[in-house]
Amino acid sequence: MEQDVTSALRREEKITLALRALYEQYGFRKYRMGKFEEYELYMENKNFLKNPNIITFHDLDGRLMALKPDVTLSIAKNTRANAHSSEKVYYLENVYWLEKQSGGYKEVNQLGLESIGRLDAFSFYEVLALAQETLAAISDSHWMQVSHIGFWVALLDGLSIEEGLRKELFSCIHGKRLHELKALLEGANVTPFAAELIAQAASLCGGFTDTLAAARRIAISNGMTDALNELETVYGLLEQKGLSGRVTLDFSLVNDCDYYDGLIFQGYVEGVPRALLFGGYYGRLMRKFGRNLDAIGFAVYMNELDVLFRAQKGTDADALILYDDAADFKALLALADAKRAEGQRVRIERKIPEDVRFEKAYRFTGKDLEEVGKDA
Amino acid sequence: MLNIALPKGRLGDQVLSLFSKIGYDCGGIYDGDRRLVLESPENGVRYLLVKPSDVAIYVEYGAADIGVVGKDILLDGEPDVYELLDLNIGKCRVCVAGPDDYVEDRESVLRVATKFTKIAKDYYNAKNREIEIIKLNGSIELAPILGLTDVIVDIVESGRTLKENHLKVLETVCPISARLIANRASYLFKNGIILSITEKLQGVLPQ
Repeated sequence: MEQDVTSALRREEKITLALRALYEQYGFRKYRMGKFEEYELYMENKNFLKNPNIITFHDLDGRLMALKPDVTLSIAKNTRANAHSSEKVYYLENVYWLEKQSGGYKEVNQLGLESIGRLDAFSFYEVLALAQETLAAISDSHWMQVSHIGFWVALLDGLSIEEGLRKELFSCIHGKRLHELKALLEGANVTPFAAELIAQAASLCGGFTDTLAAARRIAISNGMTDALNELETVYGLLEQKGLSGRVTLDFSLVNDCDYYDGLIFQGYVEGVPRALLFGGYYGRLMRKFGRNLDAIGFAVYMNELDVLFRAQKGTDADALILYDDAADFKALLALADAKRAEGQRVRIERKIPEDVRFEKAYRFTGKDLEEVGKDA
Repeated sequence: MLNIALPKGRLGDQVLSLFSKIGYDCGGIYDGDRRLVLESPENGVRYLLVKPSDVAIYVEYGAADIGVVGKDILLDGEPDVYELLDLNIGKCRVCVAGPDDYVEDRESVLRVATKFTKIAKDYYNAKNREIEIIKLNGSIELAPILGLTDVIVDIVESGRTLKENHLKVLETVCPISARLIANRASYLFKNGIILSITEKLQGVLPQ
């Protein structure tokens, strides 16, 4: 019997393989990078990072280096894309950051892709479609939240809301703390009209089409309408592709406007208590690097899947064969190989190891295998 | 089944009665007993009674879908959850308090005893005041009496405990009340029931 070489892979590894094939189908190329980067890059763009605590060290030239806490920044900074030639890459890398709860550093397996160049709604659709398919490959039960930073920036600009207030506003909006948002706006120097509009925008959340229609009713500037048109075009294409069923439009999803200025999205799968896919359009980051290019991408934190698959773990072996001093090794080998030829995973031991899970245990009698209880 | 994390104690009792008002009672089995899980299969909910400071952790990590927790815990732990409602119960304030005859010495580092280290740090950072925090987990009022610290940052309800220990409120840091919070993933996967509970609660809240 021919052995399926992928049978030994863990669920996460199988998903990773399937996703690599998917990304390549869309013409994305694998991008491999070094583990280290000059610390300066991250220091200058600290707010871009999900977690700004970085492991640093000096290299032999005395430069301060960092173990990568993020992949997108490196790709964005080093991209070969220009106005005439775009770049589409995917990556599978380990990144390092500080975990809040344990207070220790953690190695995180990150899978993601970036599309950089002169992009339009079609390129955005492709990335969102791949994000949706990524979630679907992980679990049938998944959701994607979509929002648009351009919509928010145009609204706040239109209402002349000062920069200083925006950070606090976004913090309330992101936490859906509408009661505090109201109090914050009342306390700030904001007209009742502006306060009402912001509160309405913050509560826009739900089915895509209805929420989009509600958002159109409060659009007060071309910038807001442009953002909504972009959302509509991308959603229409997702619909055509049959990928729109588990997408919600939620304007409480906001992110740092210094880097993101267009579509943003987050993906969830049932059984994982927080988002595991993060993505968005980061044209402003590109402009910070002096590149007048569009860029959109997403990353999936594969470590989050541990929680999901831990509960579904099976056994380590189908058959556990026990032998003793009297055993004829040649006969034992033949019997074990016969089982392996049937596709079974066979482990041979003198005694049952404590931390091994198996379907059946057998005792080698000298010529046969005799099934014994699990506590033999 | 929707898992709801509630703080054990008086606030938890108040919240259980709020939930029973909107049709999610715990089946009349709760009478202040020591059980940690109260199930009401007919209503599709399960109440988890946990230490108040742990409610937000249960919700953030998805062991509970929603929960009720004091704003003090949210400010101090900054869990990544949705905060859907201010329930207007469990009202109190986080305050700076010191001995009755306290006069601040602006020349030296202010020593602060508290269990809310983040709230205290943020408060004094905003005032650009250098402080030394001594984290205590209970009987905070003892610290200035014994000279361990100059002041305390703690929850004040009626102010009686302070008075009995010859302390007074010096400054109010922020008002506190109980909040309804939700796990971000549960908000999507159990959206219907969470929205319905939020809406119904809004209708029965004390003003």
